[in-house]
This record gives sequence, structure tokens and C-alpha cells, in this order.
Amino acid sequence: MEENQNTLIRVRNLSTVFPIKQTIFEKIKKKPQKAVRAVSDVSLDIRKGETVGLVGESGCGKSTLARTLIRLCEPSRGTIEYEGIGDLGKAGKQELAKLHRQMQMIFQDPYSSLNPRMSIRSMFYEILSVYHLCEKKDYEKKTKEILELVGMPQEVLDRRPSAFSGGQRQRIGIARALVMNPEVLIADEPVSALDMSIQAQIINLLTDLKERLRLTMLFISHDLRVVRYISDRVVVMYLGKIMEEGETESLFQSPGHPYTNILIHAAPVMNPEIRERSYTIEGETPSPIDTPSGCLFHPRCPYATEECGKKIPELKMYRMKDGSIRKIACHFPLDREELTDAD
Amino acid sequence: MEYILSVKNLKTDFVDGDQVVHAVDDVSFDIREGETFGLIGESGCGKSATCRSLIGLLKENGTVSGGKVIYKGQDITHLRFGEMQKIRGHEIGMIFQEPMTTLNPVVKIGVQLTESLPDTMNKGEKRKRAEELLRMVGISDAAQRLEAYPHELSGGMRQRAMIAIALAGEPKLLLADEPTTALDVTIQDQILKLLQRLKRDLNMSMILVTHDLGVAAQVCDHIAVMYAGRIVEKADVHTLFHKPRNPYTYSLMCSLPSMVKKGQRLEPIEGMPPNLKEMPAGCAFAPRCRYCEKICAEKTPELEEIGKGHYTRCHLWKKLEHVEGIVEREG
Ligand SMILES: Nc1ncnc2c1ncn2[C@@H]1O[C@H](COP(=O)(O)OP(=O)(O)OP(=O)(O)O)[C@@H](O)[C@H]1O
Ligand SMILES: Nc1ncnc2c1ncn2[C@@H]1O[C@H](COP(=O)(O)OP(=O)(O)OP(=O)(O)O)[C@@H](O)[C@H]1O
Ligand code: SF4
Ligand code: SF4
Ligand SMILES: [Mg+2]
Ligand SMILES: [Mg+2]
Repeated sequence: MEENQNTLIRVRNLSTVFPIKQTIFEKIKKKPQKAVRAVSDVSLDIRKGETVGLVGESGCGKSTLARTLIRLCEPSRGTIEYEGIGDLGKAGKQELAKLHRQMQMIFQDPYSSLNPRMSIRSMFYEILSVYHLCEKKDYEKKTKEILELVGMPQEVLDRRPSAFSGGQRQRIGIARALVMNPEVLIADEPVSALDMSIQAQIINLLTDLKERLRLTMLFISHDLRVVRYISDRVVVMYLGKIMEEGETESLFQSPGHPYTNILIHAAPVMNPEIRERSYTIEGETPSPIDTPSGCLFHPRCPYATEECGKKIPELKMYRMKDGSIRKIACHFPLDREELTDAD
Repeated sequence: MEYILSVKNLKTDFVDGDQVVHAVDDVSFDIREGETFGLIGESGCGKSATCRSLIGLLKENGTVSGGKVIYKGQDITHLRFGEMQKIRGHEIGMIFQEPMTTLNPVVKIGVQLTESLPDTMNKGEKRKRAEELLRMVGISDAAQRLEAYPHELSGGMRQRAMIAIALAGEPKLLLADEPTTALDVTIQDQILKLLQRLKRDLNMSMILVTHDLGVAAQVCDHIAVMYAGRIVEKADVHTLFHKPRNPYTYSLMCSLPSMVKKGQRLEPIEGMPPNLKEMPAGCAFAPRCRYCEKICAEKTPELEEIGKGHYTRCHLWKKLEHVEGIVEREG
């Protein structure tokens, strides 16, 4: 794999699985224990200052990958290395504390990540004091500043999380992550509950931070327009594995993996006269427990051949027709020109 | 009977310290049987509060302080808990915006799902139906997933479990509050198709709260746009997408990322929504409106019918007579 001087996070062969509890009957029968393979053999480099978009079907393992990266989930295999910290698997308390300060996460589910008994004011004051982010006399000013950046009204400081609308809670989550001035931001569906205008405001804010402070970002979203706008590179996951990875514009213009192709063409059009989408996926959602043989996408792939059900396609490098380099896990990628020397 | 639901001049307030938040202010709309009615608008404008008011599920500090909710000819505005319980589920179902606020974190999905199935079913039937419902919303390994706790599902799976719970009662009217925000486009399409099919088969009606204009265009028949607790524009979906006649609706449509080139800055609506505790005199959108004139700050505009079934709340809507809708702009 290509080495890069600027690599900040280096993930190699990472897997995270969740064993399924067995019933007494299954235990007595000594049935093999099954597991949800949420993340399966993922390798990925994230460079300093870049924004990597992570997309894929609901349940394909995006949040689990994100949570594993900041050690909220234990990986079952593989390594995660951070520049300046080293291998996370061997990291001690001090290193992990350093990591949790440099790296912030915006959680997909704002409600469960906020303390319901704490007012917004106490929540921010606590963060500001624990991490010595500013002097005590500036707590109020700083809190108001950050809330204003995310478009929250000022008169709400003494409310608890439950007294906000869904989108307001989501913005509190964003503000909480940003007040720490992180170097790395993992944003798990950060704008999913926001109307277009506030989405635009948040995206402008993140773009500014990226330009001014070289913020590095992993940006998970189902909204492909937003992903296309904000990301430098895009990673497409399916059933726990990376299917395709490449530079944003090129990937959107000529997707190489059949799944990517469907995904980026399946968005609804903003026209009430066109009510059918031209691209959809047929067939049952596959199981992350008993995963399909061969190519994970073969039961639903319009191009599947017999080979696809038998042989697992590896994630390999290709040169696309537009000249860019792409990683694709498919026996018959679309739009590619020639195979470059993989790995 | 023409309408399955009529909402007349609904007002909902929250007590916040010693002040009152006017979250919903004089909202009226009617829903026909089998119709999908969309509710869109800025975050915090009162969409969820409107839905929750309809079935008496406001937080403790909230009350419906005015107006009426008529469901199938019956005034259900201030029903007692027991009577409302009979309506919830089988008559009016709700998909809540944030699954984690309504799913019980310590109860298995299967138990939560079977609880919403009709009592006429026996245990075995319930279990079978629960599995079927999970499969309908695209969750694989249904039998195993019934044993899972909410935190063991992905965000989008939790949302779909919520949808399954709401559909378990086969409601006549479904209040769907942002039901597809955690779903990728292909599963989103499957869910929207499922809802459309249920609408057809069960003649279900639906209120759909969404900020995704593509979703609204795909499934809504009529749409109301809210701003600061009030409806500012209401029309059939075609009129709204082709000929918006309210500056707020229009600005909202202009902030889409697909409207600008990469590298160019997005254009959010400048400024902030007004303080719902002290609404200013005049038009609530005035401080942010690019068409604003003197009259706007002096007089509150009324919701005015400017075409058949097309309402807007703006003194100067005529200024927008030549603007193009989102359909034309997206191309
Ligand atoms: N704590 C857990 N215990 C058991 N299984 C889990 C746990 N967390 C996640 N999973 C499973 O791992 C898989 C991947 O979940 P994950 O939340 O990573 O998906 P996702 O890509 O973020 O989906 P979404 O887009 O719906 O949020 C799912 O099948 C989920 O049920
Ligand atoms: N329990 C509460 N106490 C005080 N204020 C509240 C409470 N719940 C909601 N509000 C306020 O009422 C207003 C309307 O809230 P609502 O949840 O209806 O917004 P929404 O339109 O659904 O927004 P979103 O799109 O962000 O979900 C918001 O400004 C919110 O801050
Ligand atoms: S390997 Fe075969 S089944 Fe898999 S994506 Fe490629 S063509 Fe489709
Ligand atoms: S009444 Fe005036 S301020 Fe309000 S939306 Fe119309 S033009 Fe803008
Ligand atoms: Mg997720
Ligand atoms: Mg809401």
C-alpha cells in the first residue's frame, strides 16, 4: 500500500465483531457461537487535514468503525496507529487521555450522548474547566460564542437537553465537540436532523475549521450531496467491508463498484413529477451474521456472475479512465482502464 | 366525512423557567383520507411539537393552550389519558424523531414490538408478526434481532424498529416525524415504498415531517412550511416546488449544497430565528428577509389564499411572482 508522509491515522486489517448471546439450548447443544461482523478487515489511511467521507447502507458498520477508532469499541483484530501516539492497542492511560483530547466525536444519536440532568450551561462550564480551555470569567462568553456558531439561540443556556428540538440537540452535540478545539473530528451523521439552511451553516463552519486549523475529519453521512461537497476522499462500505475508496469528484463521476453506482444514483429527485427512483436495490437486506459467500454484494448485484458467488474480490488498485487511482473490491469494476501494480 | 383530521388554530406552549415558549402558534390544516401531508421548516420551528400535540404526548412542561384537533369528527384535543390511549396505536400511530428518546433502552426490541400488537393475537402469532414486521423494514436475521437491546442496533436499524412498532397497530393516521433521517438512500426508498403501499392497502393517511425536500417531493400530496411556530406557506406539492410564493420557503430551497459548485460557499439564511418567548411585532421573518420593506416590521402578515389551495403569509408575495421553483433550478 502507498505510504504517505502525512498519514495521521493508519488502520490495518481492523475487525470488530459482536458475539450473539446463546440460549441455554444452544449452549447445551454446543452450537458454534455466532457473531455480528460489524467491521471486517478494514485498512485505511487518513491524512492530516483531509476530510474522508464514509458512506454505506444502514447497518453496514460505519458507526462501529468510528467508535473503534476512538476506542469506544474494542477491535477483535487489526491495528490502529496514530501519529504521535503509536499503536492504540499498546497505548497506556496517558496516551489514551491525549487521544481523547485531540480527537472528538459527534455522535449519531445526540439524545443518548447528552446528560439529561445537566443544563447546557453546566455541561459547557464543566468541559471548559476540566480541560482548562479558558479562564473562569470567560466561561459564559465562550459558551455563547460556540452556540452561536452552530446557530443556537442564546436564551437557552439553562435548559436541559430534553427541552430542545431534535435538530437543536444535534447542534449541542456539535458545539460540545468543537469547543474542545480538536485536531481530529469524527462526525457521525452530524447534520442528519437539520434543515438545509442550518446544514449549510454547519458545513461552512466545518470547512472554515478545516482551512484555518487543518482539522482532519471522518465524515459519516447518508446525504451524498453533503458528502460530495465536503469530502476530499470517499470510502464506501458494505456489510462491514470497504467496497471502494477514491477521490471524491472522480468517484462520483465514475463509480467503479456496482454498489457505489447504485448508491450515488438512488437519491430522490426534487421533482414531484418524478416519483419513481431510477436506481434501487432489490432483494432482502443481507445478514451481517451469516454473510454471503464470495462477493458480499453478489445476491443483489445486477452484474453478478457465477464467479462472484464463489471468489471473494480483494480491494485492489485501479487506474480509472479519468486517470485517477481508485481502490475497488469487485471482479468486474466499471469504468476502469488498466490494473496498476496493486499494493 | 371529508377529512380524517382537522387541526384548527392549534397553539402549544412550553413553560421555561418563568417564561413561556410559544412553540406552535395558530396552526391549521386538514388531512383527507389516504393523503400524505408534509410538514417542513427550520429546525426548532415547531414541527415535532405540532405532531406531539395531536396525540397528547407533549413533555410535562408543554400544554395545548388553544385551538382544536378533530379526528374523524371527534374533538380529541383534551382527551383524558385513558381515552387517548385507545386512539394511540391503532387509530393514530407515531414514529418519533429520535428513537432513543422513545425506545426503552433496557427492554428487548422484540418485547417492545409485541407490546404494540393487538391483544387479539396469541403469543405465537405475535412473535411471527413481529419477525415479519422487522423484515418488512429491511432488518435481516429478524429472529435474532428481536432479542437485541436498542443499543445493539445501528442508528438506522433503531429508526426502522421504531417504524415497525408504529406500524404494528396498523394505524389509520400515521404521524411520521423525520422517519428516514438515519437511512441511506436505498433503504430510505424501501421504507417510503412500504409506507406508500400501506397507504394504498389500508387507506392510511400520513403526516410526514421531513427536512429532505427530495423525500417530500416523492411522497407528499400537500405541504405546509412552518417558520417560528406558524405556517407561512401551504400548497399542493406541485405548486410548492414550482411556484413558491413565500420568501422563507424560497430561501430554504436556495441553501441546498447541490445548488453551488464545489469550493463555493453554501448560502444559509442569514441571522437567527426569533426568540419564541418574545415574538417581535410584524413579520417573524423580517430581520432575515431579503424582500423586507417598511410594512413588514409594522404589521403581522396573515395567511392569505393567493391561488386555489395555495396560502402564503407575506405582505409582498407578489415580488416573488417570477421566481422559479426548485424543480427548474435543480434542472
Ligand atoms: N453494541 C453492539 N452490540 C451488538 N451489535 C452491535 C453493537 N453495535 C453495533 N452492532 C451491530 O453492528 C452492525 C453495524 O452497526 P453500525 O452501528 O456500525 O452501523 P452503521 O453503518 O452506523 O448504520 P447506520 O447507518 O444505520 O447508523 C449492525 O448490525 C449492528 O446491529
Ligand atoms: N420541553 C420543552 N421545553 C421548552 N421548550 C421546548 C421544549 N420542547 C421544545 N421546545 C422548543 O419549542 C420549539 C419547537 O420545538 P420542536 O421540537 O417542535 O421543533 P422542530 O420543528 O421539530 O425542530 P427539529 O427539526 O429540530 O426537530 C423549539 O424552539 C424548542 O426549543
Ligand atoms: S464482484 Fe461480482 S457481484 Fe461483486 S460487485 Fe463485482 S460484479 Fe457485482
Ligand atoms: S412579510 Fe415582508 S419580511 Fe415577511 S416574508 Fe414577506 S417580504 Fe419578507
Ligand atoms: Mg451509524
Ligand atoms: Mg423535531
